[in-house]
Amino acid sequence: MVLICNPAGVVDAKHPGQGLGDIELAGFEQVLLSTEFCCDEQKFKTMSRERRITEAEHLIYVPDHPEQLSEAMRPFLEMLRQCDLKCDYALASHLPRERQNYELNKLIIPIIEGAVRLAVQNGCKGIIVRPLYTGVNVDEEWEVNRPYLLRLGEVAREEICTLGETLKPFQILIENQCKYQEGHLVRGILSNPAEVCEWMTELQGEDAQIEYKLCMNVGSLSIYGQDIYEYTMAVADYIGAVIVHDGSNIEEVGMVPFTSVSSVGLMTQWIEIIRGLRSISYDGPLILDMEHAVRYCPMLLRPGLMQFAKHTMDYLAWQIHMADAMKKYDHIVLFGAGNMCRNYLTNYGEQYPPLFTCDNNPKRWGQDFYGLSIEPPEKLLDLPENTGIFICNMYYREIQKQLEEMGITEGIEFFNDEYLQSINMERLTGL
Amino acid sequence: MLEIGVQTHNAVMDENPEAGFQMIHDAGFTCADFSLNMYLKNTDIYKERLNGFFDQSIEELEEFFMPHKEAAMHTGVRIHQMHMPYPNFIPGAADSINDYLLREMAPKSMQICKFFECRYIVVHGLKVKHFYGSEEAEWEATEKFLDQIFPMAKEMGITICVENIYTSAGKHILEGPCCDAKKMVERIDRINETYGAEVLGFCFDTGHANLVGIDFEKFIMTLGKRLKVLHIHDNDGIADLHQMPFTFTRTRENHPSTDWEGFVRSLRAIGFDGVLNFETAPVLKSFPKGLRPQALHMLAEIGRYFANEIEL
Repeated sequence: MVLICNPAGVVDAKHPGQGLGDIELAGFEQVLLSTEFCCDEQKFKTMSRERRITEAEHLIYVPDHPEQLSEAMRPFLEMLRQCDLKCDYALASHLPRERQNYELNKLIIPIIEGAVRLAVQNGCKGIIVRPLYTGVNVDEEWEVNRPYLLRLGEVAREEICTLGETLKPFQILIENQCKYQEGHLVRGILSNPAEVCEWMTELQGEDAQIEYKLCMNVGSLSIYGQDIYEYTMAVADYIGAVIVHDGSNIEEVGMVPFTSVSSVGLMTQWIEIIRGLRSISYDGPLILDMEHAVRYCPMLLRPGLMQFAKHTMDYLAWQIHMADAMKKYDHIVLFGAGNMCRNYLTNYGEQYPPLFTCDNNPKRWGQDFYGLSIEPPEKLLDLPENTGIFICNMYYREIQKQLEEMGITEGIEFFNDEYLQSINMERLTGL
Repeated sequence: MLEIGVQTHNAVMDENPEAGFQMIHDAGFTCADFSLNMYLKNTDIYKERLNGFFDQSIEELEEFFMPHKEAAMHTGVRIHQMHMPYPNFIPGAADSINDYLLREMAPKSMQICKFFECRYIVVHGLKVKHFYGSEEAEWEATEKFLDQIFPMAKEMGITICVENIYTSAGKHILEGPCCDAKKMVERIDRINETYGAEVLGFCFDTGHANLVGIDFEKFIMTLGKRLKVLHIHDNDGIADLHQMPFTFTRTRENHPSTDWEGFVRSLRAIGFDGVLNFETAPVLKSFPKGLRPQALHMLAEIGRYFANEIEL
């Protein structure tokens, strides 16, 4: 799974070096080639003011000069070459949701087409674009977007041909939207799974070189409480990229996953997101958008926040592919004989049956736990070759230390049941 | 003109139902949504506290509700729809509780519905997805429950309507049962074909839809004629407030943050010919007693406005 950082909020237009350095230092290997770097939605909010500010800073006001997009992106691309970061995917600029003037689409379309060319020129595998929504009525969404999206495919194809890379495939990744309803964010274009299937099937046609896929933004789905597990399952065949971020249930906010909470729990249903992506064995790009968390974090704390964000993304990837650790071993044993052990058996016991489990409580040694014998930890010193020891107990670090003190340093793995469906079911049955 | 209705909760009291129905009538409503759910409250059911109301025989229940029926008739108000108590299943509760809801509460609710000569009864789908893992499994559980009362519905000429509801996780409202219009269309058609009668229909709840960002227009257009009854009310998009439409705004321009235009457009497009029913009991609590009749009048005015717009 490729983990990618959206540079929004991290990298600024005047001095992109520091932000890109923070991304690299955090351990990310990939960053989005985002034209928001020089043309974010703010540029379309109070345009005369933005034009004046941009020109005063001797920068290019891209909405007036879309043909100069490459030039406006030059500082980002130059700094990128000095870093060890790759750009497999790009992100095109978009309009603010609250604008209702259909004519604004005439300003953004040339910029998005320029972003597509830039993405191809820089060797990207695909670009994330938003459908057109500004001033578009519900019953005109497809009619307006079909020619626009097909045109983006043509632009990509033309650019690929210009570069002489005729066999190289390219993805147009269309992002699901929420819709601005007078200050209230509700379901927008591609929030209905059936619509995703229809659009992608229609757009794909017979051109194998240009692939139309969904970029699933879980944050957009979460704002208004859509069932993300059901959505993921229904659009599984069409997902080309996934954007993750935490946020609020009122406005679009880019925060690090697991950080938005209320006094009674998480604001985003990460269990549904992880379950969904795990169920479809998702292995494509996983993109972090933490724009607002970084933007409003004190400058000197940003590198630390970026590193925490990278850990979080690693954790998400690990959760989604938790079974990968099991596949590595010829044999598996467990440590812990409680709820987590039972959840291992429920979810993975058949496919990856453990030899036994162990527990520090001598009274339980020799007992049977859901068909598994409970052994003393010392038995871990005499394991067959290539055996993984999966700690099934929330006191991970304490047990890891115990094992290391016993001289066991190889094959220690963690199992976690916080994001398994069975944890809810077991609560129901009183276990 | 389309008829206008309102729920009886907070308006019709057992001590003097005539006064309540008279107030409803005087405000300009011709229909009522009988709040049967107030006789076994959800707050009690969740606590596994059954008050014994549905222990009564159907004869006793009919006797109890006779004054309500007569008051409605005297005042010229038709009981167009009613709301079955909910939840009708509690995950993890004692079997005796869930059995009671299935074998006593639900069939007696159907009989009371028939007693009132009421055509529609609104039932909540089971909220069990959190435990069962998928929406499909959740619907199967709902259908299993409904299968127990579909034969009664067929025999009595009643259409059971499931409504879009929500659930919550922490302080975040999430979509709950019956929020996928396309799936509901398939299910309603399949079940009605199986029973050879219109035993299942849909109740579109505007407030619940607003909470989980459902596009009113797309949803209603997808339902088409399967949409039988309405729960019209408004909220701030955050909490289920059951307030008067056009009450909530979020911008300085003060345009409504609920898509009432899409609501009207889609009802017009599908040729909705049912009752514009308001589920706005809290309005009668939020206004002081002296203003309640006027608040009801305002709701009826809004109903007439909707009716005029739909029938343009």
